Amino acid sequence: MSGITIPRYAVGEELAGPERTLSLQRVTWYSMGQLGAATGVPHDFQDNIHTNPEYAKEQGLPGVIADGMHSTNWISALLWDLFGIHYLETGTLRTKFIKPVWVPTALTCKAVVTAVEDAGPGRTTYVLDVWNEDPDGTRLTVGDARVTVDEAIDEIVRARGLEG
Amino acid sequence: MLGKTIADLEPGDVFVPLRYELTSFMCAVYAHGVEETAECYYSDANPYGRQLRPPTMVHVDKLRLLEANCDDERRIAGMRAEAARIHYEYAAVHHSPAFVGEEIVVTGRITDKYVKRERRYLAYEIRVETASGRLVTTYEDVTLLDYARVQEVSA
Amino acid sequence: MLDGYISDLEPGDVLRTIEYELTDLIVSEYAHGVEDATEFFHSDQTALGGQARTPTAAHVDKMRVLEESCTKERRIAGNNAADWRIHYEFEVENLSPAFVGERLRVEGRVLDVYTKRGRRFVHFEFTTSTTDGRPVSILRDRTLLRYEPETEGSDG
Repeated sequence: MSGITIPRYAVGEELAGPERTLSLQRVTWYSMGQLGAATGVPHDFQDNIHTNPEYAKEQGLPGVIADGMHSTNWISALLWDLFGIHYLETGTLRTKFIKPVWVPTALTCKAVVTAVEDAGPGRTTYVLDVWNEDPDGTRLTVGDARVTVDEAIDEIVRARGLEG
Repeated sequence: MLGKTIADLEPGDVFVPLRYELTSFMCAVYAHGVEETAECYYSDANPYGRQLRPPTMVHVDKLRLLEANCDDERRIAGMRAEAARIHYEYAAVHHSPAFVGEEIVVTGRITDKYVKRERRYLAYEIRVETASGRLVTTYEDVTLLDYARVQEVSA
Repeated sequence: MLDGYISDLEPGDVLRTIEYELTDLIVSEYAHGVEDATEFFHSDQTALGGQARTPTAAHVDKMRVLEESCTKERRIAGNNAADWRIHYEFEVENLSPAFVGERLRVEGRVLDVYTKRGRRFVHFEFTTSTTDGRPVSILRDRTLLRYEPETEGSDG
């Protein structure tokens, strides 16, 4: 097995994912994915405030609103891109959906390293602010994350793979 | 109070735990639904040699717990209650990946219920482990019970 | 011969021309179905200035034309042929991107029907353009009419 990358970042380093539009198509895919994961069988998308404009308005919303977890997942995907398996082993992620993501909205997920901490021999913890923003730079989802990068990750993964 | 709607839940309520086997389909369909392309969520072609779930799937565990504990608001089944709930905060700590084929055990409780800026919130704490006792994720969640403000609800 | 099965097609057959509007659902569903996350295929927030379909989407044009031309088979509707067809070769020449909102016209013809190593093939050509005449793609495609084990030697 080839060595797993040991990522390194500096305080103040800002990282970003691609700009993607959270469209009605994408909202329906999330609904199907969520229901499929929850039940173990394929599902069509659900009729709710994320997919049905009339129902959204009945609920007092001006229009269809994206599920907050869609933003969380895109931010989580950014952390995977930045830290890979280290994120799966030790990551923490907190997100707050401070402003609605109306459908459609173009979003860019970003992270900035706010601290780099010594977590013991061969271990470094990265602390980040994370968020997504619209094309005007307005932050719609904000949060923070911590990932500990361990230089012994190859051994950790090898041991995990042998469990069970 | 368990057994009714999400809005009937009270601080201190402890969910009836649930167990399920994590399947390949569950992991892949969730990842695909958010266009997550990391191969480890789709197959065992990864350094672990075993397919695993996206860490954010702890949120699906919350949905499963609610489905099993709130009989009058089974949202996975398509039921609607008096209001649509709006997710406000997600906070997960990942302790280990969950792998396909493992039996997952989910427990949880309501930790708070409050009004802030005239809106009603419900706070959860959820713990996900494997049946063998390995801790996977600890999770805290805050949900807005309805988009309407409290005085509009009571009017 | 049209209005039969794909296996009834003969060299020289001119398939029915179809037209349709390229929608954002058509484009993004296909890209999503193959996990292509390139944003060009999912929104118009791109340097192209419009949401474009994937270069491989010409294959769906083939399916649409066959649906209208082989009316006993109708695979999009659920397949009524006894034999499952096996795609053997895909060759597309992309001449310009097709954008969401454009109306597309697809023409097709059967170039050849032949047997090779005991297997029966249909060779097609599909030409896609916008309805105002801009060429989009040319797809040349070979399809096995039915799976058979290969045989050695000359073909009948």
